[in-house]
Amino acid sequence: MTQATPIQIDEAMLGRLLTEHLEVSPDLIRPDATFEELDLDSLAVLELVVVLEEQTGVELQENELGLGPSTTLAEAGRALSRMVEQTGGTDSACQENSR
Amino acid sequence: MTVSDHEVVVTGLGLVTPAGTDVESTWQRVCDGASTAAPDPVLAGLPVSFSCRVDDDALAAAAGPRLAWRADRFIRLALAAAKEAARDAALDPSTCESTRVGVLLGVSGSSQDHTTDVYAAIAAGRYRAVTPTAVPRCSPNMAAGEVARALGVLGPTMSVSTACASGTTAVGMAALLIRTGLCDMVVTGGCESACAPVGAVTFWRMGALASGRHDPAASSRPFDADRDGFVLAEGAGVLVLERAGHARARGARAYARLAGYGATSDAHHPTAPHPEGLGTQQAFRIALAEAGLLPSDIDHVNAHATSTLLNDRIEAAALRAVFGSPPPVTATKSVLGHALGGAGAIEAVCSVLSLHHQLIPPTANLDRMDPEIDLDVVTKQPRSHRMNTVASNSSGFGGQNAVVIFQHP
Repeated sequence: MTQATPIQIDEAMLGRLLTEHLEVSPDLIRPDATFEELDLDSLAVLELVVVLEEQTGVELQENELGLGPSTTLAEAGRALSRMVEQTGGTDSACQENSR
Repeated sequence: MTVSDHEVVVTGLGLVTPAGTDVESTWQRVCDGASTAAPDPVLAGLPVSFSCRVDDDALAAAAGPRLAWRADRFIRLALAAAKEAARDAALDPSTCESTRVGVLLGVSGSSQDHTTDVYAAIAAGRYRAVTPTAVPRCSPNMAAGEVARALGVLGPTMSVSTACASGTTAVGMAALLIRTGLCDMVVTGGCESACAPVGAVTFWRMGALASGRHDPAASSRPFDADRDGFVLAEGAGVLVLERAGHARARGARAYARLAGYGATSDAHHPTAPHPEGLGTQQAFRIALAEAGLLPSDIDHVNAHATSTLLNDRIEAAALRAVFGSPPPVTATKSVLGHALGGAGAIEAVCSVLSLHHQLIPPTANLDRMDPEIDLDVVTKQPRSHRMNTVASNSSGFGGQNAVVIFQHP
Protein backbone atom coordinates (compact mmCIF):
# COMPACT_ATOMS: atom_id res chain seq x y z
CA MET A 1 0.00 0.00 0.00
CA THR A 2 1.39 3.36 -0.98
CA GLN A 3 1.72 6.33 1.37
CA ALA A 4 -1.43 8.46 1.33
CA THR A 5 -0.77 11.97 0.03
CA PRO A 6 -2.92 15.05 0.62
CA ILE A 7 -5.22 15.89 -2.31
CA GLN A 8 -4.34 18.96 -4.33
CA ILE A 9 -7.43 20.64 -5.70
CA ASP A 10 -5.99 22.82 -8.42
CA GLU A 11 -7.77 24.79 -11.10
CA ALA A 12 -7.21 21.94 -13.56
CA MET A 13 -9.25 19.59 -11.36
CA LEU A 14 -11.88 22.27 -10.75
CA GLY A 15 -11.97 22.98 -14.46
CA ARG A 16 -12.52 19.32 -15.25
CA LEU A 17 -15.35 19.03 -12.69
CA LEU A 18 -16.97 22.26 -13.86
CA THR A 19 -16.84 21.05 -17.45
CA GLU A 20 -18.12 17.56 -16.71
CA HIS A 21 -20.77 18.34 -14.10
CA LEU A 22 -21.82 21.95 -14.65
CA GLU A 23 -21.46 22.18 -18.43
CA VAL A 24 -18.96 25.07 -18.30
CA SER A 25 -17.19 25.46 -21.63
CA PRO A 26 -13.55 24.24 -21.39
CA ASP A 27 -12.47 27.39 -23.28
CA LEU A 28 -13.46 29.54 -20.31
CA ILE A 29 -11.44 27.66 -17.69
CA ARG A 30 -8.50 29.83 -16.54
CA PRO A 31 -6.91 30.18 -13.08
CA ASP A 32 -8.03 33.79 -12.84
CA ALA A 33 -11.61 33.19 -14.05
CA THR A 34 -14.13 34.10 -11.34
CA PHE A 35 -17.28 32.15 -10.53
CA GLU A 36 -19.27 35.12 -11.76
CA GLU A 37 -17.44 35.15 -15.10
CA LEU A 38 -18.18 31.44 -15.46
CA ASP A 39 -21.88 32.13 -14.72
CA LEU A 40 -21.72 29.98 -11.57
CA ASP A 41 -24.29 31.19 -9.03
CA SER A 42 -24.64 30.14 -5.39
CA LEU A 43 -26.50 26.97 -6.39
CA ALA A 44 -23.74 26.05 -8.84
CA VAL A 45 -21.02 26.55 -6.22
CA LEU A 46 -22.94 24.33 -3.81
CA GLU A 47 -23.29 21.70 -6.55
CA LEU A 48 -19.50 21.88 -7.07
CA VAL A 49 -18.99 21.26 -3.34
CA VAL A 50 -21.23 18.16 -3.50
CA VAL A 51 -19.26 16.83 -6.48
CA LEU A 52 -15.97 17.47 -4.68
CA GLU A 53 -17.20 15.69 -1.55
CA GLU A 54 -18.09 12.69 -3.69
CA GLN A 55 -14.62 12.77 -5.24
CA THR A 56 -12.60 13.32 -2.08
CA GLY A 57 -14.67 11.61 0.57
CA VAL A 58 -14.20 14.71 2.72
CA GLU A 59 -17.05 16.69 4.24
CA LEU A 60 -16.55 20.28 3.10
CA GLN A 61 -18.10 23.05 5.19
CA GLU A 62 -19.23 25.28 2.35
CA ASN A 63 -19.97 28.22 4.66
CA GLU A 64 -16.36 28.27 5.86
CA LEU A 65 -14.81 28.21 2.40
CA GLY A 66 -15.56 31.87 1.72
CA LEU A 67 -16.44 31.22 -1.92
CA GLY A 68 -18.29 34.06 -3.62
CA PRO A 69 -18.95 35.50 -7.06
CA SER A 70 -15.51 37.17 -7.24
CA THR A 71 -13.55 34.08 -6.14
CA THR A 72 -11.18 32.88 -8.87
CA LEU A 73 -10.65 29.22 -9.67
CA ALA A 74 -7.09 29.45 -8.30
CA GLU A 75 -8.36 30.92 -5.02
CA ALA A 76 -11.13 28.33 -4.79
CA GLY A 77 -8.59 25.56 -5.38
CA ARG A 78 -6.39 26.85 -2.55
CA ALA A 79 -9.31 27.20 -0.11
CA LEU A 80 -10.63 23.74 -0.94
CA SER A 81 -7.19 22.09 -0.74
CA ARG A 82 -6.64 23.70 2.66
CA MET A 83 -9.94 22.38 4.00
CA VAL A 84 -9.35 18.91 2.58
CA GLU A 85 -5.91 18.86 4.16
CA GLN A 86 -7.25 20.01 7.54
CA THR A 87 -9.94 17.32 7.55
CA GLY A 88 -7.56 14.58 6.44
CA GLY A 89 -8.60 13.86 2.86
CA THR A 90 -6.06 11.81 0.94
CA ASP A 91 -5.62 10.52 -2.56
CA SER A 92 -6.40 7.00 -1.34
CA ALA A 93 -9.74 8.27 0.05
CA CYS A 94 -10.26 9.93 -3.28
CA GLN A 95 -9.66 6.66 -5.14
CA GLU A 96 -11.92 4.83 -2.68
CA ASN A 97 -14.74 7.22 -3.49
CA SER A 98 -14.13 7.16 -7.21
CA ARG A 99 -14.92 3.46 -7.44
CA MET B 1 -63.53 47.63 -20.00
CA THR B 2 -64.57 47.44 -23.62
CA VAL B 3 -65.49 44.29 -25.51
CA SER B 4 -62.06 44.39 -27.10
CA ASP B 5 -60.48 44.15 -23.62
CA HIS B 6 -62.16 40.77 -23.18
CA GLU B 7 -61.08 39.48 -26.56
CA VAL B 8 -58.09 37.15 -26.37
CA VAL B 9 -56.00 36.25 -29.39
CA VAL B 10 -53.17 33.80 -30.04
CA THR B 11 -50.07 35.65 -31.23
CA GLY B 12 -47.33 33.03 -30.83
CA LEU B 13 -46.92 29.26 -31.06
CA GLY B 14 -44.20 26.89 -29.92
CA LEU B 15 -43.92 23.10 -30.01
CA VAL B 16 -41.36 20.59 -28.85
CA THR B 17 -42.48 17.05 -29.58
CA PRO B 18 -40.98 13.71 -30.55
CA ALA B 19 -41.42 14.93 -34.15
CA GLY B 20 -39.04 17.87 -33.68
CA THR B 21 -38.24 20.97 -31.71
CA ASP B 22 -40.33 23.47 -33.62
CA VAL B 23 -43.88 24.01 -34.83
CA GLU B 24 -43.04 23.32 -38.46
CA SER B 25 -41.50 19.86 -37.96
CA THR B 26 -44.36 18.72 -35.73
CA TRP B 27 -47.07 20.03 -38.04
CA GLN B 28 -45.40 18.30 -41.00
CA ARG B 29 -45.21 15.02 -39.11
CA VAL B 30 -48.80 15.03 -37.87
CA CYS B 31 -49.98 15.87 -41.39
CA ASP B 32 -47.93 12.91 -42.67
CA GLY B 33 -49.67 10.71 -40.10
CA ALA B 34 -46.35 9.01 -39.32
CA SER B 35 -46.07 7.75 -35.73
CA THR B 36 -43.09 8.84 -33.64
CA ALA B 37 -43.22 5.83 -31.29
CA ALA B 38 -40.06 3.74 -31.13
CA PRO B 39 -38.10 1.49 -28.77
CA ASP B 40 -36.80 3.67 -25.94
CA PRO B 41 -33.30 2.87 -24.60
CA VAL B 42 -34.22 4.46 -21.25
CA LEU B 43 -37.06 1.92 -20.87
CA ALA B 44 -35.09 -1.11 -22.14
CA GLY B 45 -36.00 -4.31 -20.30
CA LEU B 46 -39.16 -2.88 -18.73
CA PRO B 47 -42.63 -4.40 -19.32
CA VAL B 48 -43.29 -1.60 -21.83
CA SER B 49 -40.08 -0.49 -23.52
CA PHE B 50 -41.16 1.99 -26.21
CA SER B 51 -42.27 5.60 -26.13
CA CYS B 52 -42.39 8.82 -28.10
CA ARG B 53 -39.17 10.55 -26.95
CA VAL B 54 -37.75 13.94 -27.90
CA ASP B 55 -34.22 13.81 -29.34
CA ASP B 56 -31.67 14.81 -26.67
CA ASP B 57 -29.36 16.86 -28.88
CA ALA B 58 -32.20 18.70 -30.57
CA LEU B 59 -33.71 19.50 -27.16
CA ALA B 60 -30.37 20.80 -25.83
CA ALA B 61 -30.01 23.04 -28.87
CA ALA B 62 -33.56 24.38 -28.61
CA ALA B 63 -33.74 24.86 -24.83
CA GLY B 64 -30.42 26.68 -24.44
CA PRO B 65 -26.98 25.93 -23.04
CA ARG B 66 -26.02 24.69 -19.57
CA LEU B 67 -29.43 23.60 -18.35
CA ALA B 68 -29.11 19.83 -17.89
CA TRP B 69 -27.20 20.06 -14.58
CA ARG B 70 -29.90 22.11 -12.89
CA ALA B 71 -33.19 21.81 -14.81
CA ASP B 72 -34.98 18.53 -15.40
CA ARG B 73 -36.31 17.53 -18.75
CA PHE B 74 -39.86 18.87 -18.35
CA ILE B 75 -38.38 22.33 -17.68
CA ARG B 76 -36.12 22.15 -20.73
CA LEU B 77 -39.04 21.07 -22.91
CA ALA B 78 -41.07 24.05 -21.69
CA LEU B 79 -38.16 26.45 -22.20
CA ALA B 80 -37.62 25.34 -25.78
CA ALA B 81 -41.31 25.65 -26.71
CA ALA B 82 -41.70 28.97 -24.86
CA LYS B 83 -38.69 30.49 -26.60
CA GLU B 84 -40.12 29.55 -29.99
CA ALA B 85 -43.56 30.95 -29.08
CA ALA B 86 -42.06 34.19 -27.72
CA ARG B 87 -39.99 34.65 -30.91
CA ASP B 88 -43.07 33.93 -33.00
CA ALA B 89 -45.07 36.54 -31.07
CA ALA B 90 -42.15 39.02 -31.11
CA LEU B 91 -42.64 39.22 -27.33
CA ASP B 92 -40.20 41.83 -26.06
CA PRO B 93 -40.59 42.63 -22.34
CA SER B 94 -38.69 45.89 -22.80
CA THR B 95 -41.44 47.26 -25.03
CA CYS B 96 -44.43 46.31 -22.88
CA GLU B 97 -45.46 46.53 -19.26
CA SER B 98 -43.63 43.41 -18.21
CA THR B 99 -45.48 42.96 -14.88
CA ARG B 100 -48.58 42.46 -17.05
CA VAL B 101 -47.01 39.54 -18.93
CA GLY B 102 -47.64 36.26 -17.12
CA VAL B 103 -46.64 32.64 -17.46
CA LEU B 104 -49.13 29.85 -16.76
CA LEU B 105 -48.13 26.28 -17.56
CA GLY B 106 -49.80 22.92 -17.03
CA VAL B 107 -47.72 20.11 -15.58
CA SER B 108 -49.26 16.80 -14.58
CA GLY B 109 -46.71 14.94 -12.47
CA SER B 110 -43.45 15.63 -10.76
CA SER B 111 -40.21 15.29 -12.63
CA GLN B 112 -38.80 11.80 -12.87
CA ASP B 113 -35.29 12.38 -14.21
CA HIS B 114 -33.51 12.93 -11.00
CA THR B 115 -35.77 11.88 -8.15
CA THR B 116 -34.58 8.25 -8.44
CA ASP B 117 -30.99 9.33 -7.66
CA VAL B 118 -32.17 11.49 -4.76
CA TYR B 119 -34.24 8.67 -3.25
CA ALA B 120 -31.34 6.22 -3.65
CA ALA B 121 -28.90 8.57 -1.90
CA ILE B 122 -31.34 9.11 0.98
CA ALA B 123 -32.10 5.39 1.30
CA ALA B 124 -28.34 4.73 1.54
CA GLY B 125 -27.95 7.41 4.21
CA ARG B 126 -25.73 9.48 1.87
CA TYR B 127 -27.53 12.71 2.62
CA ARG B 128 -24.68 15.00 1.61
CA ALA B 129 -24.65 13.38 -1.84
CA VAL B 130 -28.11 14.86 -2.56
CA THR B 131 -27.69 17.65 -5.08
CA PRO B 132 -28.65 21.16 -3.94
CA THR B 133 -30.52 21.44 -7.24
CA ALA B 134 -32.93 18.65 -6.21
CA VAL B 135 -35.78 20.99 -5.26
CA PRO B 136 -35.56 23.56 -8.07
CA ARG B 137 -34.92 20.97 -10.76
CA CYS B 138 -37.91 18.80 -9.85
CA SER B 139 -40.67 21.09 -8.52
CA PRO B 140 -43.64 21.29 -10.91
CA ASN B 141 -43.78 25.10 -10.69
CA MET B 142 -40.23 25.48 -11.96
CA ALA B 143 -41.13 25.12 -15.64
CA ALA B 144 -43.14 28.35 -15.44
CA GLY B 145 -40.51 29.95 -13.19
CA GLU B 146 -37.67 29.19 -15.58
CA VAL B 147 -39.71 30.37 -18.58
CA ALA B 148 -40.37 33.70 -16.85
CA ARG B 149 -36.65 34.01 -16.09
CA ALA B 150 -35.59 33.12 -19.63
CA LEU B 151 -38.05 35.54 -21.22
CA GLY B 152 -37.57 38.29 -18.64
CA VAL B 153 -41.29 38.70 -17.99
CA LEU B 154 -42.35 39.88 -14.54
CA GLY B 155 -46.09 39.21 -14.28
CA PRO B 156 -47.81 36.40 -12.37
CA THR B 157 -46.19 33.00 -12.86
CA MET B 158 -48.03 29.83 -11.93
CA SER B 159 -48.67 26.21 -12.69
CA VAL B 160 -51.82 24.14 -12.86
CA SER B 161 -52.20 20.41 -12.62
CA THR B 162 -55.32 18.65 -13.88
CA ALA B 163 -53.51 15.48 -14.94
CA CYS B 164 -53.82 14.87 -18.69
CA ALA B 165 -56.02 17.95 -19.08
CA SER B 166 -53.34 20.26 -17.59
CA GLY B 167 -52.24 21.83 -20.88
CA THR B 168 -55.81 22.70 -21.86
CA THR B 169 -56.69 23.95 -18.38
CA ALA B 170 -53.63 26.22 -18.44
CA VAL B 171 -54.63 27.77 -21.78
CA GLY B 172 -58.18 28.38 -20.53
CA MET B 173 -57.03 29.88 -17.24
CA ALA B 174 -54.48 32.04 -19.04
CA ALA B 175 -57.32 33.53 -21.11
CA LEU B 176 -59.07 34.34 -17.83
CA LEU B 177 -55.99 36.20 -16.55
CA ILE B 178 -56.33 38.43 -19.61
CA ARG B 179 -60.13 38.74 -19.51
CA THR B 180 -60.07 39.77 -15.84
CA GLY B 181 -57.65 42.58 -16.70
CA LEU B 182 -54.67 41.24 -14.76
CA CYS B 183 -52.46 40.56 -17.78
CA ASP B 184 -51.95 41.86 -21.32
CA MET B 185 -50.12 38.72 -22.42
CA VAL B 186 -49.73 35.23 -20.98
CA VAL B 187 -47.23 32.63 -22.12
CA THR B 188 -49.20 29.45 -21.57
CA GLY B 189 -49.35 25.77 -22.39
CA GLY B 190 -48.04 22.60 -20.82
CA CYS B 191 -45.08 20.29 -20.59
CA GLU B 192 -44.28 16.81 -19.41
CA SER B 193 -41.50 14.29 -19.45
CA ALA B 194 -42.62 10.91 -18.19
CA CYS B 195 -40.63 8.65 -20.52
CA ALA B 196 -38.76 7.25 -17.55
CA PRO B 197 -38.93 3.92 -15.68
CA VAL B 198 -41.28 5.31 -13.01
CA GLY B 199 -43.70 6.65 -15.63
CA ALA B 200 -43.59 3.50 -17.73
CA VAL B 201 -44.01 0.99 -14.90
CA THR B 202 -46.69 2.92 -12.99
CA PHE B 203 -48.91 3.55 -16.02
CA TRP B 204 -48.29 -0.02 -17.25
CA ARG B 205 -49.33 -1.46 -13.88
CA MET B 206 -52.67 0.34 -13.97
CA GLY B 207 -53.31 -1.03 -17.46
CA ALA B 208 -53.25 2.32 -19.22
CA LEU B 209 -50.37 1.71 -21.64
CA ALA B 210 -50.47 0.05 -25.04
CA SER B 211 -49.18 -3.46 -24.41
CA GLY B 212 -46.77 -3.73 -27.30
CA ARG B 213 -48.66 -6.47 -29.14
CA HIS B 214 -48.54 -4.11 -32.11
CA ASP B 215 -45.24 -2.64 -33.35
CA PRO B 216 -44.37 0.53 -31.41
CA ALA B 217 -45.31 2.69 -34.41
CA ALA B 218 -48.72 0.99 -34.63
CA SER B 219 -49.43 1.03 -30.90
CA SER B 220 -51.11 4.42 -30.54
CA ARG B 221 -54.30 3.79 -32.52
CA PRO B 222 -57.13 6.02 -31.25
CA PHE B 223 -60.67 4.91 -32.18
CA ASP B 224 -59.33 1.70 -33.79
CA ALA B 225 -60.99 -1.58 -32.79
CA ASP B 226 -57.57 -3.08 -31.88
CA ARG B 227 -56.37 -0.28 -29.59
CA ASP B 228 -55.22 -1.33 -26.13
CA GLY B 229 -53.78 1.74 -24.40
CA PHE B 230 -51.77 4.90 -24.81
CA VAL B 231 -48.13 5.34 -25.74
CA LEU B 232 -46.06 7.32 -23.25
CA ALA B 233 -44.67 10.52 -24.74
CA GLU B 234 -42.99 13.75 -23.77
CA GLY B 235 -43.20 17.26 -25.11
CA ALA B 236 -44.40 20.80 -24.61
CA GLY B 237 -46.79 23.13 -26.35
CA VAL B 238 -46.80 26.88 -25.71
CA LEU B 239 -49.13 29.62 -26.93
CA VAL B 240 -48.74 33.35 -26.39
CA LEU B 241 -52.21 34.66 -25.55
CA GLU B 242 -52.77 38.38 -25.74
CA ARG B 243 -55.47 40.98 -25.23
CA ALA B 244 -56.68 41.71 -28.76
CA GLY B 245 -56.32 45.47 -28.33
CA HIS B 246 -52.75 45.03 -27.09
CA ALA B 247 -51.91 42.84 -30.06
CA ARG B 248 -53.43 45.33 -32.50
CA ALA B 249 -51.59 48.25 -30.91
CA ARG B 250 -48.22 46.62 -31.40
CA GLY B 251 -49.08 45.25 -34.83
CA ALA B 252 -48.86 41.60 -33.81
CA ARG B 253 -50.20 38.90 -36.09
CA ALA B 254 -53.13 36.96 -34.58
CA TYR B 255 -53.47 33.29 -35.52
CA ALA B 256 -56.85 32.92 -33.82
CA ARG B 257 -59.19 34.19 -31.13
CA LEU B 258 -59.59 32.11 -28.01
CA ALA B 259 -63.37 32.21 -28.11
CA GLY B 260 -64.36 29.97 -25.22
CA TYR B 261 -63.22 27.74 -22.40
CA GLY B 262 -65.15 25.19 -20.38
CA ALA B 263 -63.98 23.11 -17.44
CA THR B 264 -65.82 20.56 -15.30
CA SER B 265 -65.28 17.64 -12.96
CA ASP B 266 -66.80 14.18 -13.25
CA ALA B 267 -66.82 13.68 -9.44
CA HIS B 268 -67.19 10.03 -10.29
CA HIS B 269 -64.06 7.84 -10.07
CA PRO B 270 -60.33 8.36 -9.45
CA THR B 271 -59.35 7.33 -12.98
CA ALA B 272 -62.31 6.07 -15.03
CA PRO B 273 -64.32 8.64 -16.99
CA HIS B 274 -68.02 9.09 -16.29
CA PRO B 275 -69.76 6.32 -18.29
CA GLU B 276 -71.64 8.81 -20.49
CA GLY B 277 -68.85 11.39 -20.53
CA LEU B 278 -71.18 13.79 -18.76
CA GLY B 279 -68.29 16.01 -17.59
CA THR B 280 -66.95 16.27 -21.13
CA GLN B 281 -70.41 17.12 -22.48
CA GLN B 282 -70.81 19.85 -19.89
CA ALA B 283 -67.33 21.26 -20.54
CA PHE B 284 -68.22 21.58 -24.25
CA ARG B 285 -71.54 23.28 -23.44
CA ILE B 286 -69.88 25.75 -21.07
CA ALA B 287 -67.18 26.60 -23.62
CA LEU B 288 -69.81 27.05 -26.35
CA ALA B 289 -71.87 29.30 -24.09
CA GLU B 290 -68.85 31.47 -23.30
CA ALA B 291 -68.09 31.76 -26.99
CA GLY B 292 -71.75 32.49 -27.78
CA LEU B 293 -71.81 29.63 -30.26
CA LEU B 294 -74.02 26.68 -31.12
CA PRO B 295 -72.65 23.13 -31.44
CA SER B 296 -73.23 23.40 -35.18
CA ASP B 297 -70.74 26.30 -35.32
CA ILE B 298 -67.81 23.98 -34.49
CA ASP B 299 -66.09 22.85 -37.69
CA HIS B 300 -63.53 20.43 -36.22
CA VAL B 301 -62.66 18.77 -32.90
CA ASN B 302 -59.15 17.80 -31.91
CA ALA B 303 -60.08 14.94 -29.59
CA HIS B 304 -58.39 13.80 -26.39
CA ALA B 305 -58.38 10.30 -27.97
CA THR B 306 -55.70 8.56 -25.94
CA SER B 307 -56.12 5.13 -27.60
CA THR B 308 -57.36 3.55 -24.37
CA LEU B 309 -60.46 1.39 -24.68
CA LEU B 310 -62.52 3.43 -22.25
CA ASN B 311 -61.52 7.00 -23.18
CA ASP B 312 -62.09 6.82 -26.90
CA ARG B 313 -65.49 5.12 -26.64
CA ILE B 314 -66.80 7.49 -23.96
CA GLU B 315 -65.38 10.61 -25.62
CA ALA B 316 -67.06 9.59 -28.88
CA ALA B 317 -70.37 9.13 -27.07
CA ALA B 318 -69.97 12.54 -25.40
CA LEU B 319 -69.29 14.20 -28.77
CA ARG B 320 -72.44 12.61 -30.21
CA ALA B 321 -74.44 13.82 -27.23
CA VAL B 322 -73.20 17.40 -27.64
CA PHE B 323 -73.16 17.68 -31.43
CA GLY B 324 -75.71 15.16 -32.64
CA SER B 325 -73.71 14.83 -35.82
CA PRO B 326 -70.16 15.80 -34.77
CA PRO B 327 -67.81 17.64 -37.12
CA PRO B 328 -64.63 15.92 -38.41
CA VAL B 329 -62.41 14.72 -35.60
CA THR B 330 -58.72 13.92 -35.39
CA ALA B 331 -56.43 12.34 -32.78
CA THR B 332 -52.99 13.93 -32.65
CA LYS B 333 -51.84 11.33 -30.09
CA SER B 334 -51.81 8.73 -32.86
CA VAL B 335 -48.61 10.37 -34.12
CA LEU B 336 -47.14 12.06 -31.03
CA GLY B 337 -48.23 9.66 -28.26
CA HIS B 338 -49.62 10.94 -24.99
CA ALA B 339 -47.52 13.67 -23.38
CA LEU B 340 -49.83 13.79 -20.33
CA GLY B 341 -49.72 17.37 -18.91
CA GLY B 342 -48.24 18.61 -22.18
CA ALA B 343 -50.78 16.91 -24.44
CA GLY B 344 -53.63 19.41 -24.20
CA ALA B 345 -51.30 22.30 -25.03
CA ILE B 346 -49.72 20.47 -27.97
CA GLU B 347 -53.21 19.73 -29.26
CA ALA B 348 -54.33 23.32 -28.72
CA VAL B 349 -51.42 24.43 -30.91
CA CYS B 350 -52.37 21.81 -33.52
CA SER B 351 -55.99 23.04 -33.43
CA VAL B 352 -54.83 26.60 -34.09
CA LEU B 353 -52.65 25.31 -36.93
CA SER B 354 -55.62 23.41 -38.41
CA LEU B 355 -57.55 26.67 -38.41
CA HIS B 356 -54.59 28.57 -39.85
CA HIS B 357 -53.88 26.07 -42.64
CA GLN B 358 -57.53 24.98 -43.14
CA LEU B 359 -56.26 21.42 -42.88
CA ILE B 360 -57.10 18.55 -40.52
CA PRO B 361 -54.22 16.12 -39.96
CA PRO B 362 -55.06 12.41 -40.16
CA THR B 363 -55.36 9.95 -37.29
CA ALA B 364 -52.61 7.37 -37.78
CA ASN B 365 -53.19 3.64 -37.38
CA LEU B 366 -56.96 3.86 -37.67
CA ASP B 367 -57.41 0.77 -39.84
CA ARG B 368 -60.71 -0.55 -38.52
CA MET B 369 -63.06 1.74 -36.59
CA ASP B 370 -64.32 0.46 -33.25
CA PRO B 371 -67.86 -0.65 -34.17
CA GLU B 372 -69.20 1.13 -31.08
CA ILE B 373 -67.77 4.48 -32.22
CA ASP B 374 -69.71 6.60 -34.69
CA LEU B 375 -67.55 9.56 -35.64
CA ASP B 376 -66.16 11.13 -38.81
CA VAL B 377 -62.48 10.61 -37.95
CA VAL B 378 -59.99 11.97 -40.48
CA THR B 379 -57.62 9.16 -41.35
CA LYS B 380 -54.84 8.23 -43.79
CA GLN B 381 -54.62 11.64 -45.51
CA PRO B 382 -54.91 15.19 -44.18
CA ARG B 383 -58.28 16.69 -45.11
CA SER B 384 -58.70 20.19 -46.50
CA HIS B 385 -61.71 21.59 -44.71
CA ARG B 386 -63.25 25.05 -44.41
CA MET B 387 -63.00 25.96 -40.74
CA ASN B 388 -63.98 29.07 -38.87
CA THR B 389 -64.13 27.52 -35.41
CA VAL B 390 -62.34 24.53 -33.86
CA ALA B 391 -62.38 22.91 -30.42
CA SER B 392 -59.77 20.95 -28.51
CA ASN B 393 -60.86 18.54 -25.78
CA SER B 394 -58.93 17.04 -22.87
CA SER B 395 -59.67 14.92 -19.83
CA GLY B 396 -57.53 13.78 -16.95
CA PHE B 397 -57.41 11.25 -14.15
CA GLY B 398 -59.29 12.77 -11.26
CA GLY B 399 -62.26 13.40 -13.56
CA GLN B 400 -61.06 16.76 -14.84
CA ASN B 401 -62.35 17.96 -18.21
CA ALA B 402 -61.36 21.00 -20.26
CA VAL B 403 -62.37 22.34 -23.67
CA VAL B 404 -60.97 25.34 -25.53
CA ILE B 405 -62.52 26.88 -28.65
CA PHE B 406 -60.51 28.85 -31.20
CA GLN B 407 -61.94 31.02 -33.95
CA HIS B 408 -60.62 32.91 -36.93
CA PRO B 409 -59.42 36.29 -35.65
